[in-house]
Amino acid sequence: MVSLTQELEWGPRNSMENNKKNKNLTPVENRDISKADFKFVQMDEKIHDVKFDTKPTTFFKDALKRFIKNKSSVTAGVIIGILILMAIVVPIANTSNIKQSFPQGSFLPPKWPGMDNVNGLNGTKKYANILLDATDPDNPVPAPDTDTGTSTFYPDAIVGEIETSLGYYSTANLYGRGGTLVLRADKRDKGASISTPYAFMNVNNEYNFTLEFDEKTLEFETLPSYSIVMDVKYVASADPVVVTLVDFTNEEADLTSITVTDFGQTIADHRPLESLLVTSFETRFRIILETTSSDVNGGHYPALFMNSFVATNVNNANDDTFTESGINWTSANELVLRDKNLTSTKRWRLYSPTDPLSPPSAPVTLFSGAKTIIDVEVTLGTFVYDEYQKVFGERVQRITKAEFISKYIETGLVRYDFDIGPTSFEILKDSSPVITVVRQVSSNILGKIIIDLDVEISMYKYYGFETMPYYLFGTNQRGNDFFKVVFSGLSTSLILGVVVAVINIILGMIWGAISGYYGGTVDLIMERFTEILSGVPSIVVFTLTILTLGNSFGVFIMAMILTGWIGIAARTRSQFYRYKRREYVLASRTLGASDGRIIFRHILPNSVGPLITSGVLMIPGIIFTEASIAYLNLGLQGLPSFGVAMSEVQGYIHTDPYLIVAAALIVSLLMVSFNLFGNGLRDAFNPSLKGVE
Amino acid sequence: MWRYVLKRLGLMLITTFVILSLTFILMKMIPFPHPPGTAETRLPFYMNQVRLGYMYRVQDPTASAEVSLQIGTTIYRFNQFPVLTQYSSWLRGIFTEWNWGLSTRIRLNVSAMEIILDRLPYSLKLNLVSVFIAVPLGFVFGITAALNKNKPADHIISTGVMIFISIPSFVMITFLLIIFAYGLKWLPTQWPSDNAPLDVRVLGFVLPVASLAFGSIAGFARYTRAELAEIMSSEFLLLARTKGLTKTQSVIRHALRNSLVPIIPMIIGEFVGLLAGSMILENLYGIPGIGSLFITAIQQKDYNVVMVDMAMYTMIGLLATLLVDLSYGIVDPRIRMGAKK
Repeated sequence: MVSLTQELEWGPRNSMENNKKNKNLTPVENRDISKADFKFVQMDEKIHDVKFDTKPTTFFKDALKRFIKNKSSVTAGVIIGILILMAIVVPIANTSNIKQSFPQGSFLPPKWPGMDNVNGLNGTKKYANILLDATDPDNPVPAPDTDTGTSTFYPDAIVGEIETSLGYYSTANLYGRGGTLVLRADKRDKGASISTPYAFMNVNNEYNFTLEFDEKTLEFETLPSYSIVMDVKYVASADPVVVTLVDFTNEEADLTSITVTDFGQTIADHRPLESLLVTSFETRFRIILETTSSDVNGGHYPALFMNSFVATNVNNANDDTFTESGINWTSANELVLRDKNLTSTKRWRLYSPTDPLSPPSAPVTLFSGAKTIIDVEVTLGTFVYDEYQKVFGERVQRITKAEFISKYIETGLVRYDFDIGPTSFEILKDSSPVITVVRQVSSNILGKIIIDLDVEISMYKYYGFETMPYYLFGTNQRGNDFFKVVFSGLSTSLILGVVVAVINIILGMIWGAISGYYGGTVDLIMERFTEILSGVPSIVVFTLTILTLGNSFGVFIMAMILTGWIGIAARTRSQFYRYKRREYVLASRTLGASDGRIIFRHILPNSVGPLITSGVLMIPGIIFTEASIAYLNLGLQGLPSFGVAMSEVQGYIHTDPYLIVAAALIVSLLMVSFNLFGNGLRDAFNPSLKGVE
Repeated sequence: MWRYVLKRLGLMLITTFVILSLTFILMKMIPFPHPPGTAETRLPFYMNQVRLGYMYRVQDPTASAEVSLQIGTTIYRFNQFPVLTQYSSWLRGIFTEWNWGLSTRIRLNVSAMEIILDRLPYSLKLNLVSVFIAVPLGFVFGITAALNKNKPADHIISTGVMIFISIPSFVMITFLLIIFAYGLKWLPTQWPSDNAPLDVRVLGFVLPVASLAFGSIAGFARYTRAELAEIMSSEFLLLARTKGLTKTQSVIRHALRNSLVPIIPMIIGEFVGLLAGSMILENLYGIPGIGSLFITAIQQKDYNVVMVDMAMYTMIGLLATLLVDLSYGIVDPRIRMGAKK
């Protein structure tokens, strides 16, 4: 008969099996069982002194058997083992120096041997939108820094092709083209004015000029209006006279381009009586922008966007007065660059009310305004750059003869004859940083002949490496191998964790044993004390201890012990309460066992399971706490610390995320593995708790 | 029951008192942080110290003094009292006038309590939102895992729980920042200020809430699954089934309610845990809450603010423990009656 429980256990699998069972039950009479099938197990035999057939097993062996069955815990244990092994081996086997900083090699990306094609792991970084010098359109190179004259990018370290694209800068640039000059109204004055340098004109010539605007001028709702005047010095010593050429102040302005023909005639017509016979005057142009509205487009008042200004002598095409004086320009970029190096009188500049060259009686209102440049076309490049090549590749440097002799010849690394020249260069030892001598340069300075050499140096040999180094996790901000830093810190953290866990277990066990075994008043007082102590948030305790006592390893141990034993003590106490009323304890006491014997021989071995589990699970918590304290800038000093390494690179998450990702992955892996391992331990020691976590 | 409550309250107050006293005395052992600045700005700080009873003016020109300020023609000289005298003055300051001292570095001469109260809403908002999101989600995941025990859904959820419980919240936010803020650029990389538009502020909530909530969800799911799995194999549920209720009916009417019993105290515990654990998170993400205040105050050695912050954390922690114990009594009548579980 099938029991009620079995039948009602739901789940499709069970019910189907039950159905099958019902179908396979045969009535008793049909079973083929004879008397010979039965055998007595024991008859007239005394088996109470016979040894067991099965092997005796201890508590721990039993637990181990159960543990092994749990695959995820075993995997976790293996991972922990690997990490511990690496934490021990890597700091010893890896020879790079993590105590000194190596700033030239900082922030190198990870480079894995054999992974040269995977862009994250071959030591390259992608740089986007770098200004290129595109003077040779087929071979653009990164543009040099204006300050140093050389580029920060070495062309031989660029991997592959440079992808070019066009960009637009809002400043004048040596490597830019084109550009639009902007004359913008000053909010205060609602106008602006810009003036050109002076040039000599002969009124007998026919002159034209064309001013081209950019279509951006038309983007304002209320279009600006402008006038173009000339300041003419009819009499060389007197103030200039203003001659208006174009005036749109009261009508709709032409904002695409404006051409004025034969303005020489206009100037001639305005000659004062005393200068009627003079034919050549010093003149300059002035462009005045006026806008009457307070229309703001994108935060700016309407402005004039100019693309070029060209004045020509119609009669004589070779007359370059206007170009020479700096009045003509076709590229705003060139104009601004040129004007940087000229004195103010030869520049296109903003007209200021206090301009000494301005006529005091000028009929136009004296505006100031702003002059800027936009839309300078530059070539930008995106490329993959091999950082290792940059730091450790070959460089050509110039060194003095004395330095060459002392560093390389006297140390026996190379052989070289200064009289014969570069062909006499010979490498004596493989570790010589100098590969070849490119040329020998003699210069004569103040009568003395100075000899310098241009040599090609292999930088990794120069820095003392035997081969091009591989950094599995890259380097941190000090240039240290981050792989070694992480694992050195991990070893310190693990040691800290194990030491603290062991001490906590011992302290907690003693406390819990006394409190749990004796009960009564002793228990009450100890409980109250524990309750008060556990009320303090642990972060508070840690920070206080470290602030007062400093942050050495011993202080860390002490800080974590202060509140760490409480959990173990509570666990031990509850275990003692469970086992203290058992009959074997009573029997033991009846037989005269002392308290100590009962505690250590009978009760504790039964309680050791959860204790070990708690201890093991404490270790990731300690590592986590140490990292948290390091984030508070109170990290462990003196020994390599994982928390400090991690908190230091946290700030570089934007530019070099590989550093923090590597550290975070390692710590996550460690903690997940420890938790799985701890869970497996708990299930192994007490299978009745399985699933109840 | 009221006697129990009163007893716990009393214990809580004693504990707070003991902890704060210990903190105070330890703080006084650290070298005294003199505020920077000119004599004029420093004078109110020292005068406040005198008023609080920590320092006294040295009248005798020949005696040595720790601090000497000169403003115009008057010279002010101050000395510190012994630690125990300072302790009694401090107690008097708190109990009679609720004066916790002025901040020395963070905002000079502003009351420390005011600084904390300014920042408290941000932390509270963040943690409340996290708890509100984490509890239902964790509950749902736990139920799903328990009902589909040993099926693929259970395995996936259990693995996820395992991973998210182990990873600390600041590591989680690092990963999330890299993927979502710096990589895909969907979410802001720092906490948006109050002046930013509403949609940016809401997006700014997503990352910190997610990193706090993942851990809580994992914790809740694990606990719920364990409880519900244990209840599913219990006898009263078997009776319900025998009676004729369908699986859904019996689970909803009987199993769920019983599994709720340990959850409610857990919610309060999680809230406090989040509050303490969000310190580093706030620092990394730039949230102006009490956690980052704690870190900043420690770095800049503004001890008055550190004291108030510690006092606040301690009080919240103890209050939460009290609430947890009380809620155990409210939710589970067996404990209320005093029976053994």
